[in-house]
Amino acid sequence: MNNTDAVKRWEETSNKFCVRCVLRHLCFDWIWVLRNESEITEHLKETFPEFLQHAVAGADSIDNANHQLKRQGSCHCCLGILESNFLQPCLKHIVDALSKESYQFATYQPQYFLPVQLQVFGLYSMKYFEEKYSDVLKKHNPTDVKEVFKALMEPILIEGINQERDPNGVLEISLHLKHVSTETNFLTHVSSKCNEKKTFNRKRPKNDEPTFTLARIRSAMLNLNDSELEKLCSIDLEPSVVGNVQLFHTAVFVGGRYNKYSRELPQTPWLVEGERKLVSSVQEYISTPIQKAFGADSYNFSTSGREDVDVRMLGNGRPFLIELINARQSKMDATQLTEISHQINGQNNDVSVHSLKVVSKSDCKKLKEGEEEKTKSYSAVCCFIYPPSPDSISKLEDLSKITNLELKQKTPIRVLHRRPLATRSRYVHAIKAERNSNDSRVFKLLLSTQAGTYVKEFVHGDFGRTTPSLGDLLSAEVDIIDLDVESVNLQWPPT
Amino acid sequence: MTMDDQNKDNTAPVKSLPVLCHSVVERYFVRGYKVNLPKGGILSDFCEAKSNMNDVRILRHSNRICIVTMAPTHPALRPGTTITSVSFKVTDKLDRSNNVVSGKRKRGAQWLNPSSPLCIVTCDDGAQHTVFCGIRAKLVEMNERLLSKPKLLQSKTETEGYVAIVMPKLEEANHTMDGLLTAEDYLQYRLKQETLHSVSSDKSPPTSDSNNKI
Ligand SMILES: [Zn+2]
Repeated sequence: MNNTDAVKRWEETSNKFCVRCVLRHLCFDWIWVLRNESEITEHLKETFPEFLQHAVAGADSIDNANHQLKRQGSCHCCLGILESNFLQPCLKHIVDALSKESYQFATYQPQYFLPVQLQVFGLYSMKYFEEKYSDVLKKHNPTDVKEVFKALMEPILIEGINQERDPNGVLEISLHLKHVSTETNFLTHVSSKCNEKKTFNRKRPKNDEPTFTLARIRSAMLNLNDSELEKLCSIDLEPSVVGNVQLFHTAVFVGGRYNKYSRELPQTPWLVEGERKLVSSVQEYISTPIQKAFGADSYNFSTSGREDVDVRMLGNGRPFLIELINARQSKMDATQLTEISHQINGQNNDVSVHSLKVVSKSDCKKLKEGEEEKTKSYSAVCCFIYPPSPDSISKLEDLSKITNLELKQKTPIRVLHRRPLATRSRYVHAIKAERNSNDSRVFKLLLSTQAGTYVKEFVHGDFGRTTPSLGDLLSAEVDIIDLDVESVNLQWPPT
Repeated sequence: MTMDDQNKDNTAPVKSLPVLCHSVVERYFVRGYKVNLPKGGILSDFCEAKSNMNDVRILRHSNRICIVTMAPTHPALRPGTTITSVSFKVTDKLDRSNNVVSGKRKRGAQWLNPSSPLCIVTCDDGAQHTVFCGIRAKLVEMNERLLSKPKLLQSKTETEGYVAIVMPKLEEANHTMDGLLTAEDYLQYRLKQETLHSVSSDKSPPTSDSNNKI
């Protein structure tokens, strides 16, 4: 190749591509690809003296730092994303987004979303270099634009965001880049080459990105011949821009225990056909102040078991866990947590909490673990429907001799509309009755059972569907007046 | 008359003691009655005409699940009559014992109309009576204990001696009780029928229900 040809070739190449992309294609090397443009140009000159020395000499004399001015439009490989002057604006967008929100985070994790058009220009540039530089190209395996972009952004982020960078960081920073002029017609054209019929992705929300998926573009590209590709991509290109920055805090978990002293308050909002039946719920009384304190967008409330609306939760309380979605804050010290409990407990006399604690994700499963095996203690006020016989009274007193009584419980009628029909085996570990000195028909029942035992049904028998029932044991008809949960025996929150 | 009174059919024991708590049925269920099955009929039909007394009681839980029991007027519950056996095989081809349901929607359930037979009871006098469902619903569960203890139908008609548990379709759930006699209607019906039957028959009328405790 003579000098004139080399100059021409280089002119064309540097008109189409940024020097970083040239380097990526001709002699990829991590050390050099992360340098600035003039250093890369120097390196190229040294690496390919035989054809670049003369060619770049001309360009050099104009103004090396200003080399972009010669190019018409942006790079036909990276769409401007890998050019040094694109990186600082990216950081600025991120810093601006962070300053608009009050996130307090210890670690973060960036995620980059690059325009799908890069696939097409990637193929275009591969073919270009293979054709024009066959004389110098030994192995041709340029690293992905995204990988290089990540590496270029890394030191800029570390300097610009004064927080620890962590692959499992709690704040997810999503940077969405877009290339506007090729977003519609260009992609529609490429996409039309796809053999597969457009399939609707039902999971994708309506307002989300266009339907030009990576898979679809890749499959369409297989049907693009070289001249079509050349024609499509030989256009003037403006640089890419930052579309938007999304910030999302990974879930924060708060554990604790609650007591409920009301027989009219449900554990969770009680909705019938979308209509609220009761004013509030344990869940709302507890979660709303916590959600506010952590600045979360929303929450999920879960507990170890549950009690009916007319059952009180006494003793040491029931373990609960709140998952906070997109919290602005992930840490609370003991004083702040105590302050939040005071706030919850000050709302009314129906609900109180204690032992609030921020717990790790791995601790969360302990709440549901062994939910079935745990023992629960209850106290129930019961009555004989008819005045009890001496036989029933003596059986009442003998209840304390019972240990590990196996019950067969069919799904209770009161929940049969929303649960499958099944017969479950449950154990009553111990029972004791305390008679009421004022009324021979009334007695208090203390019992400890396997979790998941339906206590009300054990007492009244549920139309003979729980056997044996307390009535069976006493040879009498009995019913339950009031029920309290005395303890849920689970170590929670974890220490 | 209070709501509670309207819901009773005078089969509950007279309570001389103060009421400690209402029974499970009274607390969570509403009673309704379908009479003269399988043909059925409304209250005004029975002012002059006699009913066949093949009557059922429907206990509707607030969650739409319904329990079908024999009504106190049912001929098999007449004093002096003893039920000796119960069969769930209602036709040559249809056996209610084969009902299997799965999932919370109770898939695979046998479908029941008001005139669908649930079981056949045989009495010590040799008489056989078919007990019908009385409403439109899916069959969830037959009371299997009746097979070994048929007398539960008499001794605990409204509780352990229930016949079947059924579940109306969700979209029909609010209308389950529409075509039924209320507890108050049923009292009127019962008084009228007792008169009609005692005039034309020597058989003791189906009045007393003292062994039919709730
Ligand atoms: Zn480039």
